[in-house]
Amino acid sequence: MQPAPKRRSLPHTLFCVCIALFGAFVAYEGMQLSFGTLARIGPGFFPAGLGLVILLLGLLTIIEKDDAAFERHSLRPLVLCSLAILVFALTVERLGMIFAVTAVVALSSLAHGNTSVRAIAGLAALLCLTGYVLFITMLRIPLNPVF
Amino acid sequence: MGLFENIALGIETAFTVDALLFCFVGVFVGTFVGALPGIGPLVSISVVLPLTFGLDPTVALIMLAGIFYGSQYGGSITSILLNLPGTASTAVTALDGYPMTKEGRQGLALFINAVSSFIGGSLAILLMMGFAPALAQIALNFHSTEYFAVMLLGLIAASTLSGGSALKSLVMVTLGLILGLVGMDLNSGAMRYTFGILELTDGVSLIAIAMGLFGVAEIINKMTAASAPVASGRPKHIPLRSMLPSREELGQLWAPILRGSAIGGFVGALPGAGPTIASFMAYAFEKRVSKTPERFGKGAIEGVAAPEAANNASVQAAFIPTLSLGIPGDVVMAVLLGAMMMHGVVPGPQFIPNEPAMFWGLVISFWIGNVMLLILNLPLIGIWARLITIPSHILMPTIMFFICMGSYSINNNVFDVYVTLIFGVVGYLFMVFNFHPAPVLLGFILGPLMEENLRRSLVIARGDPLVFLDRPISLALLSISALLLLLPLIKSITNMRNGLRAKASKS
Repeated sequence: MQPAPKRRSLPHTLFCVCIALFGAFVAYEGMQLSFGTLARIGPGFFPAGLGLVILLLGLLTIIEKDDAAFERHSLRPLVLCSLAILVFALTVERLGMIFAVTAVVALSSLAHGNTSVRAIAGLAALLCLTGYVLFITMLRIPLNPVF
Repeated sequence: MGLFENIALGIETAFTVDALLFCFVGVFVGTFVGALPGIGPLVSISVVLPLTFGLDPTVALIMLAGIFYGSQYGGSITSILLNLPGTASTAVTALDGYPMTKEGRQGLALFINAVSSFIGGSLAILLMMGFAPALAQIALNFHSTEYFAVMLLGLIAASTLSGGSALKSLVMVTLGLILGLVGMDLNSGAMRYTFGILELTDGVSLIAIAMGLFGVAEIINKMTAASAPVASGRPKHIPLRSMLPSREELGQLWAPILRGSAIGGFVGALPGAGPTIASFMAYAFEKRVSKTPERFGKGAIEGVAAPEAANNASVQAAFIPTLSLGIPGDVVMAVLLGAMMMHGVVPGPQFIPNEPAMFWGLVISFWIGNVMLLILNLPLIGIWARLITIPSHILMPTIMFFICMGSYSINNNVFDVYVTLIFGVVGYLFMVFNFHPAPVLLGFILGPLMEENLRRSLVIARGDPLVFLDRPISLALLSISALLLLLPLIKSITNMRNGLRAKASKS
């Protein structure tokens, strides 16, 4: 018997719609720039064209037959890892490398499910040292260990 | 310059202390990250790249290349010993490699892995020495029209050949193209998609994108699928003598190795097709030509030899289009091209004639690297086996650390860290919805180049778009592109027709 065609899941369709909208946006922005003539194409020609291509392809992916089932995933790693990088970006210049690195290590460990304070502290210490030796001393990245 | 002078030049370049040291560092790191599931050559090269800015460009490239081909050796170690492929391209090796470990023949498997990889890589290097300069010569006759057509073919080939939905990969490629255009347009001075952000004037940083898409996204992915198989027990000490094959086994091995190398060399030279496809094809082919295919999957030595020769051959062969034409043969090559550009080297057909020392230095360093890897993989195998059992809850935060520090150090600006963050999140979403992120980088590198060639062709042809069809090489390349685009379409139409017929015949 023929297997029933997999139904498109809603999140997938929404994602493809977002892609199509992105393409429309790119095309729109591209059209604000001059197209030029065919003999002398302007800055907007290629981007607008590409935007239209993505719009079209995005719409096509909505109707394409699905190749794999979409499962529900835990959001914790996504949120915590993003938070880790965000905190790093916000603090590395203002509060120094040590704080930023410790934050990254702590948040990524939590994202992975590891909550042992000793392990996190140990790893953070090791990486702060590595960061100091490798990045600040050897590569002369202008970062302060402490503010 | 004759071949011998070139080789001499290469030896002179590759045998300096710096070059040798960094070649070793590269292949060592490569083996290490190859063996570790979770990080691969792509992330490592992206992270190491900013660290290479102070180095001589040739030495930097030697090291980065070493990471790439070294990872193909390392990935197989965990495949064989623990049934945990370190890289996707070595997944096939586990099919027969792990059963050999269970039978206690892991020493032999590792030996075959090392030797096949070495032979595969060496043959591909020979191929490169022969073909790349010749290809560059031909390409010097290319005009912008042919360049555009070749790049288009490369991108379409990458989308349609790399498995998964071709449509989705095309979306990814186009996204990459658009990203590549962000910044100030050199021709008109117009700011494109910068939205007033000063840091975007020079475009988005390649490394930040690579680290986000492949590093962060992969880490989030691994953490989310936390029910990953745990390494089953510590691998035992493996004596050197247990590794050597018997005479009979040697006789069985040379053909699969040669076949695997051939498939790998061919596949690797194609833009977009990489070691993963090469190893799968070599395994499938080997099984088909074998007189005893039922042995495969249970510990057939050919099942280890062929894919291993193939993936190493393909990795070396990927350098051919990259160095001779400036078209990346693989996603990692795209990053390497970016690295070259960052060091002020212009890739393309003029590369080999203009910088013979760099090209031949690289070639010779590939030989050196492969020899180093042979040594690292045989006597030192016990060290690797123990090293790779680092628990992931130490590994993942460490990688995050390197990604954060690495992206900051691109421009000493937190903006790039934000870029990495955004692409990490977006990249993860892509993975969840089955979009492969790799083609984005290909599009990113080729985007500005394609536009330039398009513009130039149209200027020279005074606005006549048919110029792409008038010139024979361009026409041929575009036809192949069209064919590659139509094939999956025809397949799905045929599928639909068969489905309808089956339904009709039932009613």
